Amino acid sequence: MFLKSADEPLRSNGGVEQCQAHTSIKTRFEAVAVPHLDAVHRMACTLSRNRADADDLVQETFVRAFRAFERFELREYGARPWLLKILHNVFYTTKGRRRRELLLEDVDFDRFPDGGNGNGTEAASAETVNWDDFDEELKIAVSQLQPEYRVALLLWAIEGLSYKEIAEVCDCALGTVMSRLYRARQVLGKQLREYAQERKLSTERFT
Amino acid sequence: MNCPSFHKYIVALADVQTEVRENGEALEHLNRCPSCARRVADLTGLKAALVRVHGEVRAPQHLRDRVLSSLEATQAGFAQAESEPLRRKVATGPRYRLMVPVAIAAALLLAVSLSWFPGMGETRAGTITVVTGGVVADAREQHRRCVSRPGADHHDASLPRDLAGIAQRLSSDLRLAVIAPDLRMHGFALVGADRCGILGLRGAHVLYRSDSGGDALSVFSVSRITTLGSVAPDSASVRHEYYVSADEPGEALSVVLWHDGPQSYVVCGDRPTNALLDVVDEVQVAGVTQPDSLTRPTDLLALCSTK
Repeated sequence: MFLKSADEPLRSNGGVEQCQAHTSIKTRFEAVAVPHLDAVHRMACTLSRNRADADDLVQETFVRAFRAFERFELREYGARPWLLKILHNVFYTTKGRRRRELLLEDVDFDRFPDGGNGNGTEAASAETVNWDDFDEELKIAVSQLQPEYRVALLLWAIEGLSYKEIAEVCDCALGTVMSRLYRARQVLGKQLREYAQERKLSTERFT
Repeated sequence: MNCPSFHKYIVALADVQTEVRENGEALEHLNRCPSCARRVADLTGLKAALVRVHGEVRAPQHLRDRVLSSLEATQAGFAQAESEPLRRKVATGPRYRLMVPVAIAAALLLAVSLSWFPGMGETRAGTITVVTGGVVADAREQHRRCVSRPGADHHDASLPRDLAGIAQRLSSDLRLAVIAPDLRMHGFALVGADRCGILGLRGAHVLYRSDSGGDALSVFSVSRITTLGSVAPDSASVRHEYYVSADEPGEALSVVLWHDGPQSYVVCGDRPTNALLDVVDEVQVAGVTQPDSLTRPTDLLALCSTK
């Protein structure tokens, strides 16, 4: 589906046509944007520390998106990345954070094409975890990730965005997305392995 | 293909990207290298686990209702604002005269009904309320008075000339959280600032003028206007209750007001209400300077500054 940006000219013969134009825009917006409410809500919960803030974030996102809808064109990314990008911007600007917080671990992954840590050694994530055994622990570990890693991870895994779409949403370079995903997976794997060892699970469960 | 060469395909295979699936060389390596196969399986497993743990989260119904109501309120604001320019251009016919009070009534009704939605307490109303009367009139009057001040450029000579400095100094002097946002992206440049409040309240007034020199815009930071709003002064509600001026015959100035804890902020300008609300977004994002003695549990926002 491809939508051109709305360009409803104002009519000069009274307010009725204007009301109809506004209703039409709102109807189109609801058809395009509201189906992605669940995805926006999930990301808001990922970013916010409590449900009330998340709800406010969702509401603000949709209001801003509605105001900007006439300028929106459904291009290669679609409505969901657009909404998530607005949410990302709203969260970081209203919280007073710079839109590009440079993490100490944020390196350009394009510099490490071998998928490792850049020094040619086998990456730690080669030690795998049986993810099926750690649902609750995984939830906790994800919640403890730095927000930028958590967002990238969940956009990749839950929302199924491509790296390019994630970069667009998070307003960062493609290499940065890959780096954040790599680090997020490293951290999760390490935490769950530590948990398993603490619980004295059988080492044979680790491959 | 060796393992280092294969590594770049690991994530793509876990993401089931078909163009990689069709890469015979990569698949051949996958079939004969247990280590790389294990890594692909690990990523695939992680993705599946994350979907299982997080993927079932759905927006609750009250949030859905709240979003839809916000869209209604925003649309009502558009309708009310759009009617004003037309009023200047064409003679008002009976149908048009009917639409304006209907739009206002709809906005008011919506503002009342929103507070009844479950899960939305007084601190999370998210309403746009149309108001008339003293606050709006006084804001307009103060704006006009300062804009038409003969000779002077509406600037207290003791204040700095940069936005950040203005906000800092006035916040300190007035014991208020004063805002002096950079509105150049909206086509407004700083004219000056002075210690002008509205309704007799102590406050700061930052005046801007459009690049064309025609429109003026005022941003007032005052102590809380208690005659408007149901939100408690000590609540953390920000950007959730807006008060906008009604459409009035022969009146070009729109007013938008909101509260933030012990402060109130008023934006007044010669633009339709929805355009002014866009400026308000920028004003709110720009940030607030706290005087030293005030403390807030929320993070302080960065000052905007001229570049």
